[in-house]
Amino acid sequence: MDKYKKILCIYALLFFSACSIVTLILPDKEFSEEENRYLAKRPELTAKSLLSGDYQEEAKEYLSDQMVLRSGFMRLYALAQKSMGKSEYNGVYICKDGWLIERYEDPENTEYIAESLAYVSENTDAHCMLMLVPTAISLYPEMLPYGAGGNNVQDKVKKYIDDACSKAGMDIVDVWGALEKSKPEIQLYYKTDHHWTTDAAYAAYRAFCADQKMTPLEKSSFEIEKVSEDFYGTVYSKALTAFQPADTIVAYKQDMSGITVSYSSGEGSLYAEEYLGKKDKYAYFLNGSQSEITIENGNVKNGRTLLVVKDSYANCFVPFLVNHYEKIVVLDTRYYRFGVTAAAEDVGATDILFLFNLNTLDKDTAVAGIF
Amino acid sequence: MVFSEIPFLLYFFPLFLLCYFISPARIKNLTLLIFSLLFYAWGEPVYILLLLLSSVVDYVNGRALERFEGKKKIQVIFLCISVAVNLGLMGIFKYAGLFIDTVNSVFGCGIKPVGLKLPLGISFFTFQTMSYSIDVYRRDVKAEHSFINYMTYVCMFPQLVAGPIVRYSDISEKLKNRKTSVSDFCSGFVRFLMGLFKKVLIANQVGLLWNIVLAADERSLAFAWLGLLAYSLQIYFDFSGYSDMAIGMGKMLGFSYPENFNYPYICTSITDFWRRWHMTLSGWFRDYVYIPLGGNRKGRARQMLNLAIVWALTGLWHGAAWNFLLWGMYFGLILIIEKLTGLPKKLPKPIGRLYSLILIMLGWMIFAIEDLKKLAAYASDIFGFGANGFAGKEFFYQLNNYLFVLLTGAVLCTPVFPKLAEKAKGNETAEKTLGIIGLLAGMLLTAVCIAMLVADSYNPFLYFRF
Repeated sequence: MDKYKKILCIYALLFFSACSIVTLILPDKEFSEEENRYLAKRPELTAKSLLSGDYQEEAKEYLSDQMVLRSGFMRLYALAQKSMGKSEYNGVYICKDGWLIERYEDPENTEYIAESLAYVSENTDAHCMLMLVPTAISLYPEMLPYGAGGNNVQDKVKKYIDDACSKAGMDIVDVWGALEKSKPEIQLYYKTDHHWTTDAAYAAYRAFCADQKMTPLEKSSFEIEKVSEDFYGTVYSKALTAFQPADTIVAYKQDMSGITVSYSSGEGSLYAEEYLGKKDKYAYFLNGSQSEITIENGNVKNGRTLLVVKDSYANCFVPFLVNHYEKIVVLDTRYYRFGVTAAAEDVGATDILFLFNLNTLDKDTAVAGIF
Repeated sequence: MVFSEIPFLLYFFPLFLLCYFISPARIKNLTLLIFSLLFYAWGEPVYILLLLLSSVVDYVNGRALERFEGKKKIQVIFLCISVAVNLGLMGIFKYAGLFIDTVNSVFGCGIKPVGLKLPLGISFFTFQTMSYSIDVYRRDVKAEHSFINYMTYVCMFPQLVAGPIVRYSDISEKLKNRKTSVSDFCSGFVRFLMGLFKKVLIANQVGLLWNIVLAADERSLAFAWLGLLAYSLQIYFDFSGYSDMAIGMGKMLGFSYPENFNYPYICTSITDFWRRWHMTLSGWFRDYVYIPLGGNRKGRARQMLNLAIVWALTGLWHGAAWNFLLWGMYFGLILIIEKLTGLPKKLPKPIGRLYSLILIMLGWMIFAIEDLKKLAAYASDIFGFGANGFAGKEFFYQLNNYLFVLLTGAVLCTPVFPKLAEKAKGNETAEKTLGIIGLLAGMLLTAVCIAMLVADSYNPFLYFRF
């Protein structure tokens, strides 16, 4: 017995010391592509931070974030969870057919969000539209492990906000039914990412057009192209399941003559090819998170300017709208401190579209800064 | 710092071991003391002054008690100083908040809450220093002359913040003179790893389940019991895991700390349970409260009163909230009934076990839920008074998720591994097989533990509040 104990001791001691020494020697990483977030930096040692305990907290986070083989340990963690028979960890349900579906976080700010949206509608002359998009947990409940997802109340939250905004004079664009209807033909969400697919966005676009009395472009007028077949999205980064098949990203490309796209940083395009080579491939649409994007279409002469206030669900949706407005301004309210009503006036918006998904809406900082 | 976190495991501990073992024997205690103070200061950079105050007071008391030997009256003064300082610290930093809240709500006055944070391990180190002075007064031990040795006894980090409660007499010899053999070092370290596995792989996991059940708006009968089962496992694996880590580290350094747990969940009565659960605390209350009060030597009625006092105090020791008092009284009452009726001895063993487990689980319910309203709501679900049926979807879903870890935990509550090892003794093949399996499992679980700590943010330590 003693011999094996000795070997285990030597192993564990070497393991512990090797982890710490290598972590300290290796240079710090600033950003983790895998987790799509900035890693903790070496905390600054001051008497104040030490006495308050902040330094100790930050040091703990720093050592864990910068840990050598961090992604390997994350994978081992996922494997251990799976081996223990767990079908839910890190806020993700491990579902049938390779689906990874994010847990619905209990909402806390529904009333506040409804009020904020209604406020804008009441304080602008522009025509306001609200499109709240359900997420995979609402449309693929049959994929969830048995008994899971009991707390999902996206339908109730949507109804509450829709009702409040409708009362304030907003135009409610309901795409839930349209998505439900196209479900047998198309895959509505990525299996490894929290976003909807371009196919789903197209179905929603048709519903939007029907609602707004516009004529949608038929599928045949786009060149539908698989731009990536190797997409592992944000939900995968949390679940890290072994042998997970990759997702395919599709783009509906169209003739861009007469259309100009400009970012606050300069001229651009609706699609950013360079992201296809990186981890965050969804950022291909509308070039990720830009603070302000202006799309002008010289072929359209209807005098309408659309302001889009949104989360990232809109990124693959907005390209469909370019043929229906002279000008589209996509705004990230987090970067615009004067609020939506002021912005609408600045850009001369005739229409405002609010587009959010129902899972992250509750904590969306874009809505918080909406006034 | 907590033993089961990255800064301790990968940085503090290896560095300490290196420094400790290259230190010449003469200054080993000093090295241990310095690291212990750093350890405490990392978690409590300000309250370390309280630790120093409590220990210095009792060092001086010890010397004074020795100096005035034979002069009872003067000795009593010093003894009172020790008790007053230690209980005073506990009173101010642990109980003042509860006292003010209660006065405010009973008399409707608006005294400002003091808002002091509970110092880490205050319930443990005050009990240790106090017991030292009392032991010197009773002449159970000789006062320690070396300040370094004494401080090492009080502050040594393996048992500083969460026990076991070590008495000075347990380790006074070893403080002056100890040797570590390679075999002791290894079995100590393996014990430490076992404790780490218990804490990270079981307690933290079932703790998640308990949080889910506790937070649920509605609980079916089965779901409420599932939650209670999860908490019962969490608190045992959490605390006994921590004790294992402490005892293991002690052994690595050549100390032998007293055992703290002896498979409490296989007990056959509540009396038996308290001989197996947190043994150093029960022992402390027995020797420093129950027996001085007269124990069982002053008649039945007085004995029952003594038991009631001890259990009310035990309850309050666990936390400054009324549910803890309730919890202590609950067990006090059960123990009195067991004493008076002699019931458990008459029961067949399996029934005794079942009876004890149910009462223990109900006890943990009182212990775990501080808010008395929430406690009442949970209790009504436990007894099936809720309108949520026997078992719902949520129950089956979570049962499915946690079945493996719950079963593993349940098996590890029984002494199956020691029994296996005993059986294998003498049989070379069996011993070898067990050894290799243990080694491979240990290597794998060590890596998994680190992975859990890197990836998972849920890592509380329940006994830190006491």
